[in-house]
Amino acid sequence: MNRVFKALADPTRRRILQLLREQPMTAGELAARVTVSKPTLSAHFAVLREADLVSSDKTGTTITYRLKLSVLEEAILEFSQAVGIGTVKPAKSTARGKHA
Amino acid sequence: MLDRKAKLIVSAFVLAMLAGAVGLVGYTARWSAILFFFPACVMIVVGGWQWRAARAEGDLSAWAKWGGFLAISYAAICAGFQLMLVMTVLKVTALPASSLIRVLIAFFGAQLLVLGNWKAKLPPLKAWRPASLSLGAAGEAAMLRFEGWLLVAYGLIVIGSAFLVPMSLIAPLFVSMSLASLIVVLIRRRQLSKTPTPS
Repeated sequence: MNRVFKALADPTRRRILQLLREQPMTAGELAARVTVSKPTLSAHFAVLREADLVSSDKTGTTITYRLKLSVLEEAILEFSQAVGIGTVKPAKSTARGKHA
Repeated sequence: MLDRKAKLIVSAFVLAMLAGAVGLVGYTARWSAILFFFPACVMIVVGGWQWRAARAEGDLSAWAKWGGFLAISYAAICAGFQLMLVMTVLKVTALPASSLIRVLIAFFGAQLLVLGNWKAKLPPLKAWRPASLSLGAAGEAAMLRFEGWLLVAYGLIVIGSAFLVPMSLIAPLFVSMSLASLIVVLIRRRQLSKTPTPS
């Protein structure tokens, strides 16, 4: 369960899961809709796979990711999204940036 | 598809239930269909699952585990109800029968909770469906998640009603909920079949 909480604590990973809710997507399609570099995205996929929240099928050179959420995990995802766990509040981050 | 271990365990439960039913027929010297109700339920549910899984294609390992849990836990709960029936007829219950039945109903609710939570995580089962109800891969995955949520909600209501609803209302409540769930599932499937989704 620790792995699930760790995976769902990150907003980018939550965004990936939200996108996969619509339909299974290839790594390229996800990369086009999530604004992070490809190596970072690969690391996110690894965390999600380790937590057993996504499954992947490799066809040739294309990897397709599918959602693999239990009801409890989906509820935790919704809760994390609603509470905004892991997201930095803009006002505070700006203030920190000025002091830094 | 059930593995050998699950088949043996379920068979043992069914045989024990049938032995209890036959024993009661001999003891009371009166035949009653209700004595065979629970073993029949297990045979219908588990047999139905086995029949469906045997006709499915692709990797069924995840479904086999889910089906194994469904079959064993359902057979165990039905065996519990059958035991209650035998004990009530023989008048050997130390506790009030209704309290024990409520506990068994709560176990049934917990079983639905686990099955629903698990079902949402499974890959779509590639089994035959009528053309009007068949969906693409994405639609089937969405349907599985929906059914998972529905089963979890059903399980929570069953657990709650096991302790809060009068015994006389439990059976009508469950029958109504089951029918309503079936209708909701069909409506959702129709909705998804009309939504264009990539396969």
